[in-house]
Amino acid sequence: MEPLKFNPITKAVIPAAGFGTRFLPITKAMPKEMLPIIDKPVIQYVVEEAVASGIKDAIIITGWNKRAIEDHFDRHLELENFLERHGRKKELAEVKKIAKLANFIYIRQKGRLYGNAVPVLSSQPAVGNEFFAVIWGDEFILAEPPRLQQMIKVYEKYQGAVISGVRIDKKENLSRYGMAEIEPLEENIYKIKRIVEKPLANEAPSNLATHGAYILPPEIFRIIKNLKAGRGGEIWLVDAVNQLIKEGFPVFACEVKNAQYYDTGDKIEYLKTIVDLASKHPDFGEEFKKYIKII
Amino acid sequence: MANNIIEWDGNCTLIGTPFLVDSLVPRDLEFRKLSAKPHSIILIQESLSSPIMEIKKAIIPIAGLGTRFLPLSKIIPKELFPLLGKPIIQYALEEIKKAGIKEIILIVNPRRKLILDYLKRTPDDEKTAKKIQNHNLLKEIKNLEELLSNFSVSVVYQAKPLGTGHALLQTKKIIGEEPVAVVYCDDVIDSKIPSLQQLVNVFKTSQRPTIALKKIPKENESPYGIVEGEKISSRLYKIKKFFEKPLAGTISSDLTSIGRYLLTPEVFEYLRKIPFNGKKELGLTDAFIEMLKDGKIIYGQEIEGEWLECGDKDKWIKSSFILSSKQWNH
Repeated sequence: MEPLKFNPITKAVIPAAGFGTRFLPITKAMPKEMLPIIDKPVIQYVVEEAVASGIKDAIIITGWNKRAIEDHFDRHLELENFLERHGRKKELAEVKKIAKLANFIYIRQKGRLYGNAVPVLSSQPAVGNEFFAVIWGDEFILAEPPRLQQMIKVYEKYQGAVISGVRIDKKENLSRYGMAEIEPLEENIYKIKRIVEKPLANEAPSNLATHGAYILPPEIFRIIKNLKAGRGGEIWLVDAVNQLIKEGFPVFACEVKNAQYYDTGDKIEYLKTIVDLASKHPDFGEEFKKYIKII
Repeated sequence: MANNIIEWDGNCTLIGTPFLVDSLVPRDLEFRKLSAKPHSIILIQESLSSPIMEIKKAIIPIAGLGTRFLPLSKIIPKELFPLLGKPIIQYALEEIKKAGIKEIILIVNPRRKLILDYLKRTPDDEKTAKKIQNHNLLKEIKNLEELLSNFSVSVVYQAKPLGTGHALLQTKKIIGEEPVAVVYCDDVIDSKIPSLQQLVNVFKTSQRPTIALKKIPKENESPYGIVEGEKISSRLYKIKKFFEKPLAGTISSDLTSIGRYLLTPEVFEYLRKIPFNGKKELGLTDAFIEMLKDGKIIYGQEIEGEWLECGDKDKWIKSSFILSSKQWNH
């Protein structure tokens, strides 16, 4: 076997092929990744995080009914002309910027299998034989420095796969995530021994959830291909990561520092996210904060 | 003069002087109570000879570029943004349905057709919801299917952003010589009697263009423009003057028009004959202003209910928040 090359991370896979059933009727005509968060769709926050972390290629895995994502990250000449004619320079710059954020590559999810490892496997032709990042397209984290950048630092220092970690404070929430059995290395960095997916609260190996973003070696593709269907008959990325660990590959957890995690997975979490970000908005945050106190 | 019923017509000079009433004359009022003068009878007969206009169609303009929501609205029309679990347009559809209207006409930008997917019926969504066994979701989806099954939908395209008046003219072939409701999704009104129904109730007797009004604090700017009116009854006004988006504090009236209109064929005639304005657009207000100059009558009804604006991002977020707090408090 060739020695591993620890290439700079420039490719991010963003799975965005899910149906968004939980958000019907809103997602009837728009992808859940396009759900508005104040003035941008969710997936734009995701792409911006990736780009701020040094990503050049945004590989978005799409499916049926997802055309709006491609159009959003493209030029829109009619709109640009309109803004130009009306002297709306700020909006014009904003709109043009989106198309230049990254080199966008779109791949249709393949195969009839379900599960969150399937879109990762579909990305193989664009990723090739190098380490790459995976970030989900329908949730985001605001962190300083950006989450993926913190993870890339860990990857460069420890040379292995990296998963972002979030501490779960409430015991009853432990069974919602993949909880990691960990060995501390330094302040916020751990070596992962295994991940227990959605454990019973008292069987969780720690309260560190591995969740949201991954830096993975190309070996993961071979592992996913050979993976048997897991929970619910689906192919899970966490099972592939556990297999990676079993094969002796080092996998680390990076507990993200200075971070606020925004779940937009259901209607109430979505509204909380909006309210939180509205009260931090540079243009109308102060007014909004006063306002919600009145109600 | 069958049944001695008078259709009160705002144009009538009944007893030789301008006729003022403190409310619209109910349709079952007997003719002889008003006047016996011969020239009045002729006028009344004229008005009785034309059939009563009924609102059967509603136009929903969605052709705007939504530039106050950029970059969010680059591709997704603001009418699809969520407002407490439903897209904003669904509130308009529900209101139109409650007003007994079964035909809707969408004005769409030819490059922004995502909204049409929303109006398609998709029985598959029901199957999906059943599969994931989510009771509330299933209810929501059934509601939407039922709502959509109520309408016949036509689509017209406005290829260039040349103003609301220009957009409305694109519907002319479908509208013909009928009066029509115009509903802007930007305004959601939370009220016991749906706002469109409030207007339709007035129109039954007014038979004139009737626009929805709301009072706003004088220091606020209005997205639609301020109107000055002469009060006829507690909520009904005869419009005297339109001010298109005036600067806050420059006008004494506190009435703004909001995004609900009932338009008669005459309004469309004016839209066809007036020139484009200084912004190279054809505005609905431009037509109203011309009509007033010609002595035509336009009514305004101050709408009862809470006005939840969704026309720009901070107002839309506030409106989401208001609706959620109401729901959680129940």
